[in-house]
Amino acid sequence: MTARDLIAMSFGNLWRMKLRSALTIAGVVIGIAALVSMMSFGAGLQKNVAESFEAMELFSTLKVLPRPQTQSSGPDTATYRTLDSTAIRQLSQIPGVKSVWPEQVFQVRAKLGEKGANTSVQALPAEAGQWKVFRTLKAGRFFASDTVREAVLQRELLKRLGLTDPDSALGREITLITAKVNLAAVWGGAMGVKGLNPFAEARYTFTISGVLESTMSEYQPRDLIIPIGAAQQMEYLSFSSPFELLNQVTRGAGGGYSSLTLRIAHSRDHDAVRDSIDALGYNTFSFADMFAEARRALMIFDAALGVVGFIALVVASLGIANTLVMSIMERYREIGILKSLGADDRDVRRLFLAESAVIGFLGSVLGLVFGWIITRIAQAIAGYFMAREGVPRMELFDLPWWLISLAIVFGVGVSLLAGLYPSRRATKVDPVQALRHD
Amino acid sequence: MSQTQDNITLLTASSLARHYRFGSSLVKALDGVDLDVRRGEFLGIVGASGSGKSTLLNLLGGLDTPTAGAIRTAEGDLNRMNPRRLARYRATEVGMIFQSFNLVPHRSALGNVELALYFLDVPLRRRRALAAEMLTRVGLADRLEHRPADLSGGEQQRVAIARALVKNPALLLADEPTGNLDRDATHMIGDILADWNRGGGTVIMVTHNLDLARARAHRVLRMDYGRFVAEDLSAGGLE
Repeated sequence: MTARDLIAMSFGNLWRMKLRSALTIAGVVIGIAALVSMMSFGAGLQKNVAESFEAMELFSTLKVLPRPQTQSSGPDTATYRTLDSTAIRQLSQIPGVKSVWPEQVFQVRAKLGEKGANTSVQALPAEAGQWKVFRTLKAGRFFASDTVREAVLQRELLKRLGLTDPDSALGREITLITAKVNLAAVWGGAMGVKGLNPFAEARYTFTISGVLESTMSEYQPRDLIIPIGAAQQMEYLSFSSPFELLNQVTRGAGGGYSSLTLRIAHSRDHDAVRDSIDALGYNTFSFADMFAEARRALMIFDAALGVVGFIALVVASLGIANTLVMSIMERYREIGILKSLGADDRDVRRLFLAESAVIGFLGSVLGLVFGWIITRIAQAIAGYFMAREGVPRMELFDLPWWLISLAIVFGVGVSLLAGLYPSRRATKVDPVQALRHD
Repeated sequence: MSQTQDNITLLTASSLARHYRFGSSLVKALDGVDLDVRRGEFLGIVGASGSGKSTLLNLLGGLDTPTAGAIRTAEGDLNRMNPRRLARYRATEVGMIFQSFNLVPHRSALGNVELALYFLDVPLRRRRALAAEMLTRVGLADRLEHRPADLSGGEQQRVAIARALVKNPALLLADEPTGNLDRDATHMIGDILADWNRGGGTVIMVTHNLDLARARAHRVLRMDYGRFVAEDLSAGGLE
């Protein structure tokens, strides 16, 4: 019996029992739809994280941090290998490293005309203009060099500064006000002079060169991006702990940076570069490793969602088994006829397995369509609430090829398992009994 | 009556027995049957209900396995064949027809005849052509797409004969083929079987109808209580 004959016979048999077949297939449809809609939510989360990593080129980025080096004399006397310009030079020379720059994120008060807003500034090299996230700006362009006094703003910040049209912001001047340490006042205070303010403000003017569309991602640029060289000429205070503040105050005396960002030319060099940095005595933080961990967590989340669909599919498989057992009873004589005409046990088994596979396949395909419709409805509802809350639109679901294939393989596989017992039972039909005239 | 039978033995059954156990009682449906069937022979077997005729046909057709004894054919000893070879034997060597026709109700006449060629891996188009040709030969050219329920008893049995003969088997086993038919239909079925036999086919027909057996068969045997009780009841033989 050829595969074509088997499939044609299976379709024919299912078609004859339309209502029963439809109800059985509906069970599979519900199972697969639940599986697909649940897992496509997990896949959507994973895709969003991966995309935001890719947009910021984090897969080829390492963060270099100072490593505590315990000395032999005295307790709690850890020292750090300084992340200074020497360290930047040293790290740049590691084979496979494309560029190194200090991590500079600090708070400023931005002023555009009369309007002002507190925001955080991120200093990046001009090469970041090649990153996916900066390649297509909402308006304007990325800054052209590391030293030019130009800035790229997130659209959200622009709105806070009273501008809704991104194009109208281009070329306008924005003032960044930073807090700095007034060393004279500090020393004066130390000398007993009262009323001196240890902090002072510094003002820097930048021209807006580009506006970036805000996205709803954890890994996205800060609200205001300026060139790294321009940032190095600025005085500012930024600290997450008093020790960092101390470090910054003494930077002039070789305090160094709190961390460096390092770009790798090819992600295949990732591990080798990380080992070289380690050998130089620095700690590293790898975004690729972080993503791998996040991915593992998401896979567990995905699997947990998949269980719901799986349970629905198991219930559907009972329906398939029931349908096929009923079918054997009804086709008892037909099985006898087939055997008298030369069908062996394998032919009979294949016939019933083909029927369960057809149920599984049809159920899976329809389940995929149904599951996709569910995700579109859920997306539309979520999109409505996101828009109402002013949150940038985000695609919550993803239906990648692997999920489509998995759903079909799973649907057909579970159906085949459900067909095992009935098909075995069909082979046990005694042709003599089946053909005995009534 | 056919003159084409030769002296080549098509199958030999020796000391064939088929016993069934129902609780504590043993039913000997077939109890030590010896039989030689020559190629081209038309053998009639008559006997009362429960005499073991159908059991014998089921064993010769490879549908059932004997409790004791052997059936030797050109393909080998049926007892020693594994289930797959036995299925192959049924697919290629044997055609069977039954009193209750045993047609698949949801398939057309053409579809029913085609079924016999499914297990011989005949391609679809050839299968259709052979089935249509065979149905035409049994006079059902205008009934190809009719389902069994739309056919008369005689027509249904002709479909069953077409299904049995479409694969050109070495042996046709007919189990009460006219048991459910009127006189005209009985006559027509007898003609078809005799025609096929004249073409060289071997037929074993089990029937209650001694007249039919005498009219068509070269040799007629009577069975009773699972044994042959008379050597030859045919028109030329002893009663």
